Amino acid sequence: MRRRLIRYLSTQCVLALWLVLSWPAPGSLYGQAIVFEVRGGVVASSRLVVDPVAMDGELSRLDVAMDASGAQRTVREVTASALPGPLVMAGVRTETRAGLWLESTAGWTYSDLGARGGGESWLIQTLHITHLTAGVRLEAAERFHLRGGLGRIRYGSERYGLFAQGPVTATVLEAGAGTEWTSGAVLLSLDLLGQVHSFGTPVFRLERGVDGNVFRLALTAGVVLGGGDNR
Amino acid sequence: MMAAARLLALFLWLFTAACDSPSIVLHSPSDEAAYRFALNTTPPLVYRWNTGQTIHVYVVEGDDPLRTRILRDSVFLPAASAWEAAVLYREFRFGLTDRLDEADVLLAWSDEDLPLDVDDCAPPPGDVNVTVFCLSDEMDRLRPYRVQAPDTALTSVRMIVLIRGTLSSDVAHARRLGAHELGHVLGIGGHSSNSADVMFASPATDTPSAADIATVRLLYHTTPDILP
Repeated sequence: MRRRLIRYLSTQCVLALWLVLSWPAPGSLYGQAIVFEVRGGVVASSRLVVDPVAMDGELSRLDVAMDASGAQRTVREVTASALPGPLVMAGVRTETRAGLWLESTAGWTYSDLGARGGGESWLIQTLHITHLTAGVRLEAAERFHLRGGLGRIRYGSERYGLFAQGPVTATVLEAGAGTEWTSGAVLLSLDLLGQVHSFGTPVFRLERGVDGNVFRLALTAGVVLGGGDNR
Repeated sequence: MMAAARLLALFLWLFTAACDSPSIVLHSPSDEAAYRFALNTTPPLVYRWNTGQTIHVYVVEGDDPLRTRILRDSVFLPAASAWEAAVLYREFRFGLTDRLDEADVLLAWSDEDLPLDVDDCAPPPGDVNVTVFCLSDEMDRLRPYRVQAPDTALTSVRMIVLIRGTLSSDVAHARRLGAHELGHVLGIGGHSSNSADVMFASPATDTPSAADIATVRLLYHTTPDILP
């Protein structure tokens, strides 16, 4: 309850800050130019679930602590992760102060949920991960920018296993940095983006799972469209 | 530029520091704990399929298409779904095949003729409910069956599951026994002593209980002695 309240209040604070920043400076021309950006790349993710399955003592209780060759058997912990996959993003931004942009970004990742345990690895199911964030982008130096944002991320998949009760969503916090350069008449971008969000599904919690944080790291290249000189 | 880089490094550090992975917390064994799943051998041997494998099942088509359909649609498919739903990470899945040469398991009513040469690893005769397999000489593999003469080519079939033929008119009973035999196919080598479990010798249910689920999950995260 307390954790939920803190999460709610921090989200409200960020939204309020975003609204204040989005108000253009009086008399300025900022906020009039809209810039679009389309990016594609790859994203890797930390583990979605760590499951020890059972205590090693269980094998002794069940009389299988030793294998046929006399070697000790242990219970193999299983981990499930979203495997590295392609990411497509589209964003829109406008400048509200000198060097300060407000932006909103949507992204879609196609990935497989893979499992590992005891030297074996296998595929569980396909994931469709979508996210929508609002944030700020700061021109930190010529051709170099920083960005940060807050939004929602959604994990969709077939109704099986961890996702047997449907898709799950969570608040996502993101930060990144990138560069832009002109190639002919086209403005190109290269960005490194990190995202963190909590993760847990109803099935996972029923299995005595405790929500934890998942970190995603994306490398994207993109094309910047529109905005004239004001970009 | 340096300040920006430091800011970025701080963000990345904060992100990674916050990365306590979602985890399942273990609890002490209870009534829902796994039961013994090893074969009743000395030493107790553990067998199961490779993790993540699809177990291809061939349903023997008899003279009566209705009986075949009952075995496939009303006995095998519900039992397969129930066991697949028992695990969280798709440690196994069942698939139907109409090709004997790519099947891992052969499923038939006990009164049907089998398309395999079973002479050296034969199921018991009569109206039986049974899962049969034989070990290689090294005791680390399941021996594949051969196609019946005159071809006698080696198949990939390593298990034969028979459901009592007299139960083709008692679908609910046949389904319970089908779920039980699929438990043996997965690698549960013994029987549960709890009548609420599918793997009780005379099962009263076709849905894996909490103990059945704990057993099959532990089995697929234990190093096996015997692989197909």
